[in-house]
Amino acid sequence: MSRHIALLALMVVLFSCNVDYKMKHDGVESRAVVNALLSPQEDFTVKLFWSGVYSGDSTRFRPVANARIRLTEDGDKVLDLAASPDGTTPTAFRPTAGRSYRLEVDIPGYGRLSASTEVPAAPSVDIRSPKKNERYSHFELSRIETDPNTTGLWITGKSKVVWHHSDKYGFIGDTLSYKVDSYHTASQFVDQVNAAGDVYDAQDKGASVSFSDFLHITQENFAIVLPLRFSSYGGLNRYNEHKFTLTFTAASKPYDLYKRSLYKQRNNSGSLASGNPFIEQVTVYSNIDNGLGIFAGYNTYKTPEL
Amino acid sequence: MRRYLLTLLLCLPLMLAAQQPDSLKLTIPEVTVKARKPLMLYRPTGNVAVDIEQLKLTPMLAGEKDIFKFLQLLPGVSAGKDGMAGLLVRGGAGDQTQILYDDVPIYNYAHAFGLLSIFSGEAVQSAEVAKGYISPAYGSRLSGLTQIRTRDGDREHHRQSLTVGTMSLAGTVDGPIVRNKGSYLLSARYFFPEAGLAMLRLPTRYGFYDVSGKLSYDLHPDHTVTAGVYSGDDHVYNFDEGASNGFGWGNTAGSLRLESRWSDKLTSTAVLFYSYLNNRQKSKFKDDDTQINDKTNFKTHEWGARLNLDQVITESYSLSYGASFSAQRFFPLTTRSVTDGTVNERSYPTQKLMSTAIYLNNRLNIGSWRADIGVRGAVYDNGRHTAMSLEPRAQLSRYFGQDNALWFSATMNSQPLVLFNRYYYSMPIDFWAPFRDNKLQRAWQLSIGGRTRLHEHLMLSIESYYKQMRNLPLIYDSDDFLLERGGFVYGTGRAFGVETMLQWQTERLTLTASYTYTNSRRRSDGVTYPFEYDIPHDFNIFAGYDVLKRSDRRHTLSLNVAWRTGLPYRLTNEAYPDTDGKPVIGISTWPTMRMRNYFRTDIGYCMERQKRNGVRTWQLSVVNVTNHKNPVSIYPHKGAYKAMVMIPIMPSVSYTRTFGGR
Repeated sequence: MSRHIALLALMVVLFSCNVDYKMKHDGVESRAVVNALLSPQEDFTVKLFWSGVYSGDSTRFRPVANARIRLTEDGDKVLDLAASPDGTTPTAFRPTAGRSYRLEVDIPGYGRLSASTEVPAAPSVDIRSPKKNERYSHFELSRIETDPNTTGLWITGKSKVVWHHSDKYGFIGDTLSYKVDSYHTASQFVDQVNAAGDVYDAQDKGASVSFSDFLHITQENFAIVLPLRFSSYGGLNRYNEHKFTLTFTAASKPYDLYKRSLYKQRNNSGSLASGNPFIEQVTVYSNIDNGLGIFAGYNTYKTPEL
Repeated sequence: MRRYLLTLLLCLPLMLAAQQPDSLKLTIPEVTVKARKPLMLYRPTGNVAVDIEQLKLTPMLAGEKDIFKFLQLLPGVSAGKDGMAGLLVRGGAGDQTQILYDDVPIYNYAHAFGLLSIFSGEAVQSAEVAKGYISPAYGSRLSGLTQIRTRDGDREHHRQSLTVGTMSLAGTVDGPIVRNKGSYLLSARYFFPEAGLAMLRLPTRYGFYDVSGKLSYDLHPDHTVTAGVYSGDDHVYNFDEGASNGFGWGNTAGSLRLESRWSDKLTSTAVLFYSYLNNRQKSKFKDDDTQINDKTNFKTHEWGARLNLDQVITESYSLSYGASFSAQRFFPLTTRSVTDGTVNERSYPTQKLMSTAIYLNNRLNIGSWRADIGVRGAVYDNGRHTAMSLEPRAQLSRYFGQDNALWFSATMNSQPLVLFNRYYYSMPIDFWAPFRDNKLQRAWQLSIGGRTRLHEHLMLSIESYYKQMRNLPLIYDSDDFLLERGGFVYGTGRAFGVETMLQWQTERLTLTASYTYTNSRRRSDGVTYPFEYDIPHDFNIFAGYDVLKRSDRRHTLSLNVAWRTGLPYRLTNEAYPDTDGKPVIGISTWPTMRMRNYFRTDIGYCMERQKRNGVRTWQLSVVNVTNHKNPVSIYPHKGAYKAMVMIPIMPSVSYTRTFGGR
């Protein structure tokens, strides 16, 4: 939020504004898109669609009706099947950490799409919640262990609110779960890609910098970032308590590049771009030869409720 | 000119009478006749200088006398995005133009995220842009050289001036240290709305300041020493009780210059300089239990020296020769964290760049011909690789009287460093890095031009060029590039264009009309595409008319009209699903469209009045008077597109009062 406050101060001086813009484009030639993530925690699913013309968040994409999917593990074929005509092909396959995978998709009349990735081991961490004040829960991450295939660590989480006294938002015994949408830390060893200055409630948060949606730590900072102190909205008060389940995702290089560039593009479009004259034109990373999308491995560790 | 002649005719009988011993001695008041100078002056080398005096007469953005906005009127020079303080020369990128401020290289020349240049108009004496032939004395950039010189302080009288603009408060003092022997100048500028934000106790602040100073002293009638210093800073921060965060950037530069005249035929200039760029990000937190103090810096230091000698060998042959040396240190991303007394620090490896060059230029003046033939030899060392560059440069000119000339030049240039942006809180901060992989950026350029007087008041100049560039690092991921994890590919570039300019000059009217055709392309990964700031057609008209011109008052109306082709842009209407099925915009790594054409009209009215002890100047400006919506960026929004307009209609006013004088 304070990013926008800072910009606002500047923009007030500069009188800048946003206007509707009509674009003239040549027709778009559709390209094949493969999205397939490999994780030991989930069954492998391949999504095959054609790119289309942008028409907002509700843009519909045509499935690739006819294709052949092959997956190899350390060079050995583990899957060879026809793609589902509705675009989403579920399988019962789960990858093994530490192994290399290659995906090939043959589309008649279009050609072969291919990509490779590795699946890192699940991260091992020590984390605790040393204190909860009325509005924020505080965490301290004191150990991170990953394997060499991990190029980035992503921290995301869910919060469950449990009411022990009734108030206007809930009754005793009620619970409400939601995705955590901001984290607060002063550490500059955390990737600043989603950082924004935010002094609101800084004393309670324990920081004046907020990170939207996730905390991302790059491989070179795994050791030096420790101990990492951060907080998130929701603590312990007379009505309810927020309990957090944090997910630590060890990312392979393609997963890391894809997620980070996707975030940057989203942050530079839509309502988030409004008022910012310094929008970056971000190309979302793709490792698919002869197409678009991503084939990448990751592995996760979920904490117990904190 | 007619006014001069008239004055001469009037004075002639008096001058003749003065030579007759028996005649009556008359005392006549000093007559100063000020005719308008052309807005732009072509130097014999083909360089273009602007008349700084007219800076105060042009329409101003936010009431700021910005020398860069003025230089952007030159054909072949563009700002890049609307309102920015860039100087992009002949299809070159921003980092391909070297900016020298009193001979000191400046690495970030913008306040307010690129909107204003850091050079206060109060202190500037001259500004000159070399677009084609660049003297062998200078190098390390592919496309252009901009030399900005601050003025010396007045050697006879003390003078003070104060300017209140829409954005800043500026003050300058200058005068003699020892009458007719030495002088001082001190100029400072501050973004005063920051003080308003502080008074309102808002938790967010933005501000900038700059200070420049100059001391000049004649050690001897033939030896003058000059010391100059500049320091400026921009900062954005949020704060609350016990917590704060922010980021900023700033330059500090200093120089010591000795100009010597050893004989009628030999002069020398020796310069020692230092330049420093600091980008920083900070966050602090303190409560009863915890104390955190984190800071990330990116710093660039440069120390250097330059020696130039000019020697007249014969009446028609002279030499310029000398050497330069500089040492740069780049400290990328040094992060220091102190949590409850525990220090964690991580520094990415320091990078360095040592640059050494020697050069020689032969100048021949034979009849109406003039030739500059020179060579620059440079060695660049980045600590891993040593790269050499031999750069022959030549220009041949033929004069047909005083006002008509033709010239042809051929130059080779190299560049050992690159500029890129990294985003903090979605705002760009400049970073510099030395060359990698033993590959210097290289370019050659041919240009041919001429000027002629078509009419007593009308000058025409035309210049065309062709330029080729190679080893251009085309950066697609600034983070990876900074961390030396790739993030770039090498590409090539070429640009050609024609620049024409008509200048109509009378006693009261200056009219400059220019048209520039440019075709600038880049090629990487087998794809050829328009350069990010390629502007095929660029029309510009500047007019200044003295509505009132008396010895004690002057009112000038000025008008600037610009029309140009829209900039290339990286955006398509292609979308594809992400892993959750939400649309990803198919933004390619090269431009795929053009923004709509650009149009802007600025009007200014300047009222200058001689007061008993100085001059008072009011400057009223309306920038983009037609409120044309010129986009600087476009982004998808709910199935359609939105554009960000940086400069809608912007009125401004500035007031300048000078005291004392010459």
